[in-house]
Amino acid sequence: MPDRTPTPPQPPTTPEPLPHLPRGRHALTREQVVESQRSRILRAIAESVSTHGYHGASLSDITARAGISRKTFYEHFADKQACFVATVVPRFAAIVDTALEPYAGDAPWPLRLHGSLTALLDAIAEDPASARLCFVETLTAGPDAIRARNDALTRLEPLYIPSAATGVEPSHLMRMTAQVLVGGLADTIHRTVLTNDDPRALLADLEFVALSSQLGPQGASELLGSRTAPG
Amino acid sequence: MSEEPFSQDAGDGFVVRDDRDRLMVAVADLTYDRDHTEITIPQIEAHANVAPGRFAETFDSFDECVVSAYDAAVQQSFAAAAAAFARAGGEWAPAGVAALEALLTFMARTPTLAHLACVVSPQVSDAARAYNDQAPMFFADFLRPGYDEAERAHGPLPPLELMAQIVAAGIHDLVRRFCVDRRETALMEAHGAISMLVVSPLLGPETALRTLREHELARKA
Repeated sequence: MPDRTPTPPQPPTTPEPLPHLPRGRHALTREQVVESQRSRILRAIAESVSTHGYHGASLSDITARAGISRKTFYEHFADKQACFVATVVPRFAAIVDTALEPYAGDAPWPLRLHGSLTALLDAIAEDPASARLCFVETLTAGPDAIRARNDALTRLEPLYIPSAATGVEPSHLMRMTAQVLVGGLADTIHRTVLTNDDPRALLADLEFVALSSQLGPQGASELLGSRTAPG
Repeated sequence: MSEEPFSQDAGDGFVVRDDRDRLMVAVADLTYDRDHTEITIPQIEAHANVAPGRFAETFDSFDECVVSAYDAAVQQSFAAAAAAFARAGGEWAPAGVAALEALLTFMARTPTLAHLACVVSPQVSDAARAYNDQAPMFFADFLRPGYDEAERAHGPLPPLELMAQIVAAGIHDLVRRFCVDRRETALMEAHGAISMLVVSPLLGPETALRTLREHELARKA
């Protein structure tokens, strides 16, 4: 097997300074100040974790990047994990939304699945920093982060249930099988992000496993083969 | 670590053979309800009912203990699955379904170790995270007979290592879901879905469902 030694997180290029509030008296409302602090903290933890990994991201680094005190940090978040979850949830939601958009419509399930997996892998390739936060660091940040990851991935389960779009209620077995397939998808993406490989290279094999779980290997091969057949 | 091979019933859960095993189980028990950073070596030794100083004689660090516990749980659980596979005999699919049942039974019987492996270990250290990332790859040998059978029948498939990775990763992720929700003892609920994920991509959903039904009937008989 090829070497799959995980690579460390990549430091960002010269970071943009976070916009701080003007010093001294200003006309900003208390709400604007609080919102500014919160958004700076969320951006700071994303950058710190991207650089150092979740465990290496210290409160000192996060608060320095955000230009706030520890006291202010704890006014916004109970702890580092809560802050991390708050920055991951919208990022993960955006990735999942991108995957679900092609799934809408009346096209046959295999085509909708293809469109969704393509969109998902493109989104990951185009924003590897967010992908790393969502698919890798959530597993190291504690149970609340794992639950946030699980909640996001649950939204992808209908991709693996052909009858979902028809309104037919899937059986418990179908739903749980879809859950396992999504887990396999997520962990596979996790490994790819760790090794900085192109996630788009996974498309054909991920598609095969999904299709063959419903159609068997012959059905999946015929479907995928007909898509690439000349003429 | 004891080099004795395992041949055990999955229903026994993790078999404790020596102080090393006692210490590993103690870490699993203590981290089930507490953050790992709050746990001390004396607490581990007391919970394991071993002499003070025994931890340092056995492990170089807390991290090493966690990785060792994960490894020991994988070794024993796979031994139980292999034993079930061998007892089932015959074709790969029914033997595989029996092996998966044994695997889940083992984890359900040893919830604190399952929790340590899936939830705690990624938080502990780079070594534990690396082991966590590699553990699913043990699955390729288990899939190989079914994979070879499918290739003979249907022609070329995606690489075995990738299929094993996807399948094993799916199982790992599902077990992690149960663990983070503290539902380890309910892991058998996942047996059907996991069996479908393992058998369907290789032999088709009809074979997978038939195999599951026959397994359930045999269990009830």
